[in-house]
Amino acid sequence: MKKLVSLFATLCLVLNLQAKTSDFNLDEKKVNAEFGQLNKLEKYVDANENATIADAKVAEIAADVDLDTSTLDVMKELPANIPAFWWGFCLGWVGLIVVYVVTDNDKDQVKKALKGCIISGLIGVAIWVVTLVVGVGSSI
Amino acid sequence: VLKKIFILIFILTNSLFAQKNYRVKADISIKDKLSNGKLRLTVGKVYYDKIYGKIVYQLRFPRKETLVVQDTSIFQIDENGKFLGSKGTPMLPEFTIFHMALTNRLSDYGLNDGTNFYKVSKVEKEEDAIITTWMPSDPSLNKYLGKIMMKNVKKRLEVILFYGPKGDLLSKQFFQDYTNVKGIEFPRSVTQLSYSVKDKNKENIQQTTYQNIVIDEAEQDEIYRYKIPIRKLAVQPNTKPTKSPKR
Repeated sequence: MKKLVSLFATLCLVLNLQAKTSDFNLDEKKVNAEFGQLNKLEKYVDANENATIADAKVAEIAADVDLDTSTLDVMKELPANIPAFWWGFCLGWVGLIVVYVVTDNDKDQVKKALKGCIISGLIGVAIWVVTLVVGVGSSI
Repeated sequence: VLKKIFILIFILTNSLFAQKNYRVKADISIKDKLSNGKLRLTVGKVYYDKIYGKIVYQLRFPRKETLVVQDTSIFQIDENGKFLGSKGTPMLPEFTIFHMALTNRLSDYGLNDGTNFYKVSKVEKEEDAIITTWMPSDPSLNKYLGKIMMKNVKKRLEVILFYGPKGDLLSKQFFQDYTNVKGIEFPRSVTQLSYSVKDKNKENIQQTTYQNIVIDEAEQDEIYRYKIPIRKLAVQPNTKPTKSPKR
């Protein structure tokens, strides 16, 4: 039974390690299609240094585009979708605060960051204890 | 002996050149397709100085304004220099493409930085590409963190995939159209697709293009070290950003 469980676990790990090769492909046609209207607007903005949204509307460029103008949110998203745990783990309490602020106190995310923070601290303590034990052992 | 001296000079020159890259400036255009169906276009210039540790966006569309990313905050200043508000951001300068490019760490996305949080678990060769799989160094972290996969061609990072602990794809980024400016490899196009964990059908697409990339510009120091109007910030009772102007 134990062998079966370990075989199953190994199989799961192997399957997990294999990425679908399609994941490495970028469907450029799809991306271009999604940005079709924005590309027109981008060209217009490139050609007109002081272009505003109102100008673009007057010029009938991307008139039907449902535009989000919140520039702050462009920078707000978690870079590369790095999980909240990672922020807590790497940056400790700073990461915890970051997750708290950015997610507007999303309890689930903050909890993950807290776990990361605690595990990081425990690993640090464990390393310190091992170093201390090894140091004392070698001095004796 | 002469050969050794030449090698030594070569190494020293290389390390000197490697240390001198500290600034990057570029024209930037960010296109977003949000999961709620809305579109977003942000156009302007970006400045980053790794010594000052600030990323300064001088935007001209959708409106003229300046955004400054510093530590874990982002500050919004209007075209007249008036402070509008601030927000928390996880976009620490050290995690950005600008810092990684300047420190020549973009090829492994900064994972091999000595902290050993992730380690290489598999390396495969596929025609002219190298596929590297990274796993959390500590197996107990597998519960929280998934693998990261990278595709490099000629040492340049082309694709990076982030997976959740259950093996579900969270995000993929494509780095394309590289240019080399003063020895710095910089992709002129970065496309990121992010997927919602809760709803697989929801995806965000972001395409960022960089043009006119300048490395180590000596001028415009006042922009790279942009001073946020502190006095105005101190008297501001509410630091939450003002609402975006309606279309």
